[in-house]
Amino acid sequence: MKVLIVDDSKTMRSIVKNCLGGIGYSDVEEACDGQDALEKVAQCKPGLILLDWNMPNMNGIDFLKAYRAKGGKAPVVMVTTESEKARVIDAIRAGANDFVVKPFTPDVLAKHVNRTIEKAQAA
Amino acid sequence: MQPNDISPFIKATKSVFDTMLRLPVSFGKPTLGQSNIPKDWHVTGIIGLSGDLVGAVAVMFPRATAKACVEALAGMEVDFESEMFADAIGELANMISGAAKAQYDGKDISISCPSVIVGPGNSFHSHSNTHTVCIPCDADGSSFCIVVSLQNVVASEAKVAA
Repeated sequence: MKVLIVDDSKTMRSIVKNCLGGIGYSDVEEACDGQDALEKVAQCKPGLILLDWNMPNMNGIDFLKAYRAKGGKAPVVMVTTESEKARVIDAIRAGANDFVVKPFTPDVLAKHVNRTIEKAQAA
Repeated sequence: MQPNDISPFIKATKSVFDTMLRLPVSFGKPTLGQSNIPKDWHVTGIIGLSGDLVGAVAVMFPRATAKACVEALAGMEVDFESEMFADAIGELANMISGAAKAQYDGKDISISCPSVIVGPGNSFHSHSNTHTVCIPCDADGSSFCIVVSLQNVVASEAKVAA
């Protein structure tokens, strides 16, 4: 399964990519903001998207709304510092499937990724 | 500045260093004003705050500490001159500010994308209508500091036990 990591920080993309490799997901595409992600999803058709919130050009929520509006069905896990209840509700309403708050340990990210994929496969 | 205006930044810094860098971090006594902000350090990551809390957060490092922290975060050697170095400092500032913001329950606060200054002798100057607190930090024996500069708060109350 291809996983798309969307984060404006190259460091964070590298950290997330390493975590994914540790649980067997090594087919990874990267995007540096929402606009870049819209182009990448059309090309690589990911089975899972890990999405930051605060990014230049197009933020994570605007990407998510645009992606769902275009019929994008891949499960989306928000990986972000935005953890207030109102933000979580906004993200779920926009179509997010799960939420990982930065800072996180590799174990926490792995748990959320595996759970999201299991739910998507069971649906 | 209310006591609770500083403690979220201390808790957030500890959380980020414990979780993402796996470096023990301890805190000295926060001081009001700009006189204790280091003026000869090499690396500063800055995040702007807007909404119910207006101001800026700066994470300031001497060169060697910055390199150690970046490499602990990235899990690999990172060249001081590389794009990845500044990116990692920005992400550190972003995570600390974001984790602190989350503790201001009920307040609507937005944080900016990070800006990073790399080079000797940079210094932090806040706007005259802000109250500034410098929080001295120690990560595994190396000094750095968090500077929190906020508007519309009562400075005399910024005595927070670290």
